[in-house]
Amino acid sequence: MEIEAVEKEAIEKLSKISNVQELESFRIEFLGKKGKITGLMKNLKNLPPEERPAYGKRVNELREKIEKLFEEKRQQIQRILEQEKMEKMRIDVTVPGARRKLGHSHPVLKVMEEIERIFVSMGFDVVEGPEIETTWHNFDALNTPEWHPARDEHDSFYITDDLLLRTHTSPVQIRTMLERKPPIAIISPGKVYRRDYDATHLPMFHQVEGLHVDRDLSVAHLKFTLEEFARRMFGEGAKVRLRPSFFPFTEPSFEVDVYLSGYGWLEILGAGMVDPNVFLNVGYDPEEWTGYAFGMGVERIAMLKYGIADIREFVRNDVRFLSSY
Amino acid sequence: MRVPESWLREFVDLDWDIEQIAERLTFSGTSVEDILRPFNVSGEIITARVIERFDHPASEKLIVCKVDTGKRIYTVITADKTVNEGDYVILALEGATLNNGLKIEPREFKGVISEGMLCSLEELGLEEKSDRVYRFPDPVELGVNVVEEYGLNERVLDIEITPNRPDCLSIIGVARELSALSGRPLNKPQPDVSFVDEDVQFDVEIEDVEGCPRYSARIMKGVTVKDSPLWMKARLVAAGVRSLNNVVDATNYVMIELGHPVHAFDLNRLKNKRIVVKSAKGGERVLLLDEKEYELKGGEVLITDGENVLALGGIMGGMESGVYDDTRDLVLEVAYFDPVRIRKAAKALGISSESSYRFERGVDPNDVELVSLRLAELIQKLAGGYVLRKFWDVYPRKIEPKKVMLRKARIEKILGTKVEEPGDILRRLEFQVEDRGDSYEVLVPTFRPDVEREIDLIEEIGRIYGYEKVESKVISVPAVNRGWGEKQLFRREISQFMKGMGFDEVVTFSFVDSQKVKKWPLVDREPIALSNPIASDMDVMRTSQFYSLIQVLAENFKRQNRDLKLFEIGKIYFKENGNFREIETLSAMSCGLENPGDYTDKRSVSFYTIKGVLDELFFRLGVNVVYRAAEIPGLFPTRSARIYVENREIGFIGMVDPKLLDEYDVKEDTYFFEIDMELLRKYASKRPAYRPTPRFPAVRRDISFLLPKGFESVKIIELFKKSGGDLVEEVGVFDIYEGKGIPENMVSVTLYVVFRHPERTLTDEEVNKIFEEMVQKAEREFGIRRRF
Repeated sequence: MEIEAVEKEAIEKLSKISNVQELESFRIEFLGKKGKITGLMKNLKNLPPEERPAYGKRVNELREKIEKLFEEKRQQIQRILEQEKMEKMRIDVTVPGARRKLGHSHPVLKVMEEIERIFVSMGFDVVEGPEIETTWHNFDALNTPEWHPARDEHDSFYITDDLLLRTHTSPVQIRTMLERKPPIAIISPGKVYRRDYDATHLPMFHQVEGLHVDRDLSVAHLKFTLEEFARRMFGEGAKVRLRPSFFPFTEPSFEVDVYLSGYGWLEILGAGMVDPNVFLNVGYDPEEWTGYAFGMGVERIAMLKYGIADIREFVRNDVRFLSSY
Repeated sequence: MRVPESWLREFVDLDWDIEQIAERLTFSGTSVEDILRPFNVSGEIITARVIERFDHPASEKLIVCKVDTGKRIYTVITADKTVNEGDYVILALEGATLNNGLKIEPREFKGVISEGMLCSLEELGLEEKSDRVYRFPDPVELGVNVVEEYGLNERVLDIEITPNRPDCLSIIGVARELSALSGRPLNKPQPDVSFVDEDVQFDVEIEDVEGCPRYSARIMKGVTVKDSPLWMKARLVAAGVRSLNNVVDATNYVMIELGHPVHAFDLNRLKNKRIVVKSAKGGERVLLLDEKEYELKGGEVLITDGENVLALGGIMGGMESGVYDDTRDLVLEVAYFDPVRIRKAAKALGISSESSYRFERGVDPNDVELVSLRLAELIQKLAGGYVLRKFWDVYPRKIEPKKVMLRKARIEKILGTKVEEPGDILRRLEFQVEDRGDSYEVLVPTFRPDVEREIDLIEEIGRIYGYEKVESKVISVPAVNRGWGEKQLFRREISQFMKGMGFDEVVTFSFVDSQKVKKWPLVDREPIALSNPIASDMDVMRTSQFYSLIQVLAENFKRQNRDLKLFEIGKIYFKENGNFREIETLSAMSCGLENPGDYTDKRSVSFYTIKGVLDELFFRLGVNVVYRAAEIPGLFPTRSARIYVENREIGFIGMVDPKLLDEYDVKEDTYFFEIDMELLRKYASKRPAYRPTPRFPAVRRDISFLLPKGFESVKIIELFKKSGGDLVEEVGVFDIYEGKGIPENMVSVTLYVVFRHPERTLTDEEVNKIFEEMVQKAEREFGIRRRF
């Protein structure tokens, strides 16, 4: 039986095929127009007519079977080829990426922005002013006359007798009050300068000060503002306490401690009710207006927040230090 | 201010322990910084008497003593051979600890066992340096523990007194605070002095009434100047003052106790027996007790005898009129000096004394009599002698207590809480208070110069009442507030951009080294010098952030951080037409690898990459800039440019001069730029307008030109843009190449041109034609040629 022989041969050959060329030769040999299976059909005319349908059917069955096997084989080879190609393209996906670096924020400026964001979200305006200030704006207008001992507390950098590098950002409050009518609620972030340089002091550092003036503000409102700030800055558990102190420009004045779990009470801010003399100096009527003010050193808060022991780290700007922020 | 606990308790009887005292003081405005133990001695340190003394059998340097404590006799060895039989001494026995940390135990010295130690004052912490064993001047009871007897177990409150509270620079002042806080009475000293009537020729006159509104003198005679007793030494040392002799110690003691500085003169050292208080003319030279000679500036208050300067009033006594061992007769000065005058003089002469510190903050002009009596009482107790009845007290214009009205409603308005019985709080602070219905009429004692106004009284009430009792109240702020302004938002945008470009943000000092600014004047601006810089290399305000960034870069370089991209948005400062200006700038400095974390990119930073950062910034902000080659001192002459917008310079860029880098030990090519933030923001307000998204395809052509070095290819780009007309959408650089295959001093620059028609697809033919014309025009115009 020729059909069986062809079938046997085809299956045997097909099983040995391992590449595309052999596959194509096989197709021509068996399934092509002149192929062996087509050739079997040619025997049809030599058969008695009654056998022909059965024969034809068997040849067609054979063709279908071989075609099916061929297709399977073709797909198998295809898969192998793809596999090979993929192997060639294999890379080590665990190797570190070719990293592109984003720049880092400076921790002090990062914390300063955070502080600003809190007060902005509470409705305060952000105002700025010059770093080279007149002694009038920096001291006199803030109720610190020339021979007041409190001027010693700020050992200042002078440029001329009347000009200095501002020792706090409070002169911005003076400038703002001279420009705007109350009520006002502002914060003034920025650089300030004092002649001090050691592990806890820099001759240039950053402050955020705030001022809120309205008709009926009292210590109770100051307390709320500071408590709200502390909760947003340090977490809901942060508590605030006021320790009476002295600043020439506020009365009463306070050192403000914030309670942080794990640290205890830490002195973080200075604050107080605006001294009536300051209002008089800017033309506000202290009978009509009251207000509170507060100020904080940004470096100090950044040191607490990040556990930095030496303030000089901030101006060393070692990029490995910066890369944490 | 150091306040020994035992001293404080003499004036107010409290149930509180020292920690409670510290807490109450701190939360009422008298900040206790620490609770100190000034003496580090403990154990059996007792009074004893030397009953036998003999040479050490084996050492010439030592002696052996038999010492009686009243209970037992101890054998003790000492190196102080001046110790004699009969001396009353202090004996430290086994287990005791001395101030230097030494623990006493029996110890053998060359065959003899010493059972204890005879102490010097140094070993007790009462003196800085002693060379002798302490001997009591008079017999004392034996076996008394000196640690307990003289308060060497004393604890001391270390208090920070704010400048407005001179009254608290005294034991009595702090006691008054505690009296107000506790409601317990304040026990003021009541000096008991017996007087002698004796005629003496003496006189006090004040010429400078403004500088010295009150001057009092009292005369004591027949005193014996000597070492102070131990209790006095212990008190003074605990309060942080050195013991000198009994008279000087008494003056210091009274100052600490009552807060009023006093002075003692040797009557017999006064050439004229009178005191005249004058204002210095200037130029006088005085030798003060600190053994320094000062030349007066004029305006100092002088205590004279009419001719000779005896003391610098309120600041320091003179050497010549001082109290010494041979002094017998004293003039005791208790005066009141004007705070501002004292402060000016102390500042001008650079002297700060315990006395000037108090006078410049303000002492009580009206406690003079009490202070003078207390001083006389104390000196008499310590130095004997007698006190003359006559008291010279010149006080031409009495300083009266101020009367201040306090509206009751105002208390709650400021404090935000209702205070019960505010008048009582003031009374406990020794204010006289009359209730006048809606107000109180308050008489302010003259030891409180800080209280002048209603608000000052409210502060007093608040701090004694306690702020922990104030409940917070929610605020409301003006609804027109906008938070951050345009300037701050712009700054943040630029900062974010720079970080996005891989630059680290740094913070640097605004002052730099004037020598560097002078040597490398990157910008032609007059620097602003500080009159009192903190260091010689931080003596001028920077005229460019360059000087700050180069330091950061160099410091990092030294620490082996060598791939650096740094930026700072900060101010530069300069003088212009007599005005002091400060301008915010964006500056960046970079060296090393362009992408250090990226091993697929080995490029180093270059002029073009750092310029690329700027160009992207300008593009983002819609700012059209022009770069012009420029020579900038500090930057490399052929690799730097100034940047212009509408012909106005907004900054500069360049490679840092390697000679400058050498000064900082930086060994990598480094690039820098600085841009004026205010101008940038001004021009950035013109953001790019909307352009419809193209619908038809573009055609691109490239062309390489061989250009002589120094030829500015931007000219070709401009020409292309012009000559190509509306069809040219974009012209840019595709490649810059020099080296192999290119003649020396020539550069190959490949440009690309993108053509696009808004309404149809361009054909190759028409583009080729236009492009060829453009290239030929460039060749003709600039005398350059294309490279094939």
